[in-house]
Amino acid sequence: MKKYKNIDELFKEELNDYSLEPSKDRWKKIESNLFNRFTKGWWIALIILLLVSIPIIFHTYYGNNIKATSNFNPVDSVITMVDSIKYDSNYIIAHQETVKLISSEPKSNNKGNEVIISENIRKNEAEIDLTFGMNIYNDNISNEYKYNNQSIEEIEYRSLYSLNNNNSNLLYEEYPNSIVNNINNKKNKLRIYTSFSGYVGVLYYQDSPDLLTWSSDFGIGYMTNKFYFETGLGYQKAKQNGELRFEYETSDSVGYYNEVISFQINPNNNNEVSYNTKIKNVYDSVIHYSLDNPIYTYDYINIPIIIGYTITRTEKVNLSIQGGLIFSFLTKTYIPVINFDVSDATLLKVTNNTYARANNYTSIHLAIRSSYKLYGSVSLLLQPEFSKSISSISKANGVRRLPYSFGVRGGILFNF
Amino acid sequence: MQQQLESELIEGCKQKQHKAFKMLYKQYGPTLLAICYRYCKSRSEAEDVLQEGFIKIFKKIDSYKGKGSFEGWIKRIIVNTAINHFRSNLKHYYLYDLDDDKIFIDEADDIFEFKIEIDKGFLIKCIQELPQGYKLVFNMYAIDGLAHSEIAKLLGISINTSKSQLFKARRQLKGKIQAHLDLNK
Repeated sequence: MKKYKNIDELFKEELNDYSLEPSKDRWKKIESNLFNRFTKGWWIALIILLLVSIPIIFHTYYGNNIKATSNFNPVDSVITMVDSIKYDSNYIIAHQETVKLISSEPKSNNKGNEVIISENIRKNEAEIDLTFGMNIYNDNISNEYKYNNQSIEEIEYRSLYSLNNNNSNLLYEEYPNSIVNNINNKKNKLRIYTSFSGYVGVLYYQDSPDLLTWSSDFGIGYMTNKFYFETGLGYQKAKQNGELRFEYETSDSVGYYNEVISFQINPNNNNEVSYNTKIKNVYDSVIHYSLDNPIYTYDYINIPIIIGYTITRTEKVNLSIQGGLIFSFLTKTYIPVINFDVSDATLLKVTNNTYARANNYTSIHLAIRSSYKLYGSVSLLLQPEFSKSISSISKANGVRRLPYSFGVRGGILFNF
Repeated sequence: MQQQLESELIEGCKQKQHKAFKMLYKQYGPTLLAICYRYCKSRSEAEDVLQEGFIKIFKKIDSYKGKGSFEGWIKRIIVNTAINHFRSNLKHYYLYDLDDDKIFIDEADDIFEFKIEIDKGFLIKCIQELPQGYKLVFNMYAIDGLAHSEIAKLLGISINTSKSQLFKARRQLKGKIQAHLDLNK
């Protein structure tokens, strides 16, 4: 049996050694608050550095190529000559080809003539089983061509041969469009594009229910064969539940008493009195509290700084991954109309516990970009996205509020 | 030995050593979170207060000169943080306290005897369910050991208001505990 002197002692004794394990990610939040060396100044310096350095890097690597390929002629035909084929009793072990890329659109200094714009000897090594008698040699070969001291990317090559004793006859060969595209693309190595897109997503807050967010964005970017760098301007609406506390007074029944309506003295015994009573309720003003969570809406102007990498590209479809930072600036806060509808109550006070939003915040952005070429330079864009704020969206010191969002972006890309 | 370890830990924190801060958090975090939890409505709110309090501890660690217990010092910072957290909402809790002029009989002298073990989580819940004003004063006076004069100063209320809030808090808590005991008879 436990004995306590009073209620204070009960609570003090029992709760003195009470402990609760904080959640696992709490230390990380404190840590990032204390040891985050990336102050505002550093972020600004980093952004300026990125803005200045990326175009310089792009120019350094690709600028010369643009000049070199400015008078590059389209490839009209490809001639392949099989020089030799060697095989043992069962397997082809090698063959050698000379490949010439022919242009019929002459350079200015070779007017009217066909010119060989590239010549390359390919040594293909492959093993083909000859046990089927009449065999077809069908391989996929990657190769590298040189033109004006610049390398042209790997080209997929397919050829079919019939084999007859020591000779081989080329039955069919195919250079996919990519060979021509790859070469011609050199002209447009550094391209500019713009995009118009809309985003719909859900904002996940740690301390209030999740709510919808959407944005409409304009982007402008530089694109090379593999990388792109994009910035732009966006308008975003974000919603969040506020917290209003109402203090109000109502007249409530707080007790009752028995009111004597009449009484009678017993005629046989004067000492005995009987009473007729009626229950009477007693009312008094009682203070109550209630909470309401109306939806606040916030308008932001967003400026993204994004770098992307193209994973795969076909004639129609382009798939890339991208990441970067989004800088958001609060432009407007929509305060909801207060709705208090308790009947017969007097509203005494309304306290707004909704935290104030910071004037700006930064988030990291990750996305997978897929685009589908509609016609010419117009492509459709579909992009699942994730973003998480890395600076607090609230003004309050100490507690960092870092919501994240998942959503999908759709839009149109224009290549120039 | 324990004291030596503690002084080394404090010294490490004063030198802004990452590892020392982490150890300090591991050692005191659970106790301090329990304090925050008493003042708050929810676990996540309590963790927010803990986070705010820890940041203050780390920033103010240089001002701890070794006078008095270190644990007492950090507990006081956490309690102050919890009070500050609710300060903006405090005023109106006392505006309608009409009992300011009355003198309250100290009800803290009843003897409590329990045949059953009372769950600590239940006791915390009892405190959390108190109206905000009662909760703050009861926590500060009965558990964290502040005097009415200190409470009055910190909350910007009169000493009598502090006493009346405590009186009402005790009354509500007794009711809740009694109901709990009756239910578990």
